Amino acid sequence: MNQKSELRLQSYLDGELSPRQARRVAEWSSRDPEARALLGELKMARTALAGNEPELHLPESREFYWSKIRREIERAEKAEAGFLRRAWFSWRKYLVPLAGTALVAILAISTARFGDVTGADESARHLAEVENLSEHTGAYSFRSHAENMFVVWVYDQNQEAPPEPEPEADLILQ
Amino acid sequence: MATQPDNTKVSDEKLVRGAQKGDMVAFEELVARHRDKLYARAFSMMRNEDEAIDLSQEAWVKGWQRLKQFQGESSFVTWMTRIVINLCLDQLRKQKRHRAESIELLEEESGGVERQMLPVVAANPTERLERAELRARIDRALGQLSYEHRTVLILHEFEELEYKEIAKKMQCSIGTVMSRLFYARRKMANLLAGFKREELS
Repeated sequence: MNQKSELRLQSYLDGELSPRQARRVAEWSSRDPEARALLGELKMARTALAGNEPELHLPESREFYWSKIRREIERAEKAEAGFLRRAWFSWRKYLVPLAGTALVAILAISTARFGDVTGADESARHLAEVENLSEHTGAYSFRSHAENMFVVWVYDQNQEAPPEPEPEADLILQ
Repeated sequence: MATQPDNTKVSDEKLVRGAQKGDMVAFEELVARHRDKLYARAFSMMRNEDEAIDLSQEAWVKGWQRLKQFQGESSFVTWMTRIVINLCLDQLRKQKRHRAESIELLEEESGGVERQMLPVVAANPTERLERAELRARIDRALGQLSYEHRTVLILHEFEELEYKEIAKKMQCSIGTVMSRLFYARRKMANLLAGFKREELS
């Protein structure tokens, strides 16, 4: 018998064949004594194992076994908390520039979208403090419809004082 | 002083829900209930007491860490058993990298010599055996199989996994699983027949 036939017998035993293939193997194994003997052996091995998994008992007391598990759980949780704290501190230095960049982007988008319809006072120039949610950054905006100009000044509140309002902005973006 | 609740009569499901909320006392009760089962599974795969203890404990730690992922599709102990099996397979793979491929495995892959040497066992060597004796013989026979044959038998016969699930876990083809299972069963039958002969002589 070749290996393919042997494995087909096994697939039949394990119910891994289609009904049609299973019928063919059943017919073949009933006719062929060699196939019948091999199928019998495979079936015996399967039946012997089913439900007869060796029963073993842990050779350690409940308390001793659990104490190592609990210690490891606590150690892993402490390590994770430490990692998160370190990650927070290392990322915090990027928060100020990121928050500033996001603010500029939001203001620039809103100006681009709504700038044309605020033409009530075309010649007016506005310098205003911009409200934001960051504790670390402040921002001022300067807008001139007449010059088609919009400037946002973002600063770190811990390091830099806000700019004094001036009639003309030094920095012009067009 | 606060006393610990008596969890011995609480169902697994309720203990799992408690543990998912961070109740370590509930988790300890789950460990106490199923520690033998997990240890037995690890031992049947590793055949080494110390490794089985370490890996089963590692499985419990991972179980606690992943407890929120447990949705109850299977029983808790089945879910935990899958974790310990995966850890054992990882460990066995690491060990395999450190040792040469056995001649036996090469023969198995080429499919030839081994099957010609095994006679077909006609009489059932497990007939009229007490269950405890049968289990002891199965344990002895498992210890004499290569880890590939032992693992595939455990996953198919005890864990009742299908060929494709075993192939995924063992990172091999379905054909290899079928071949390994075939030779594992044949060897098991021959080992049990050998034990019977020993008994009779």
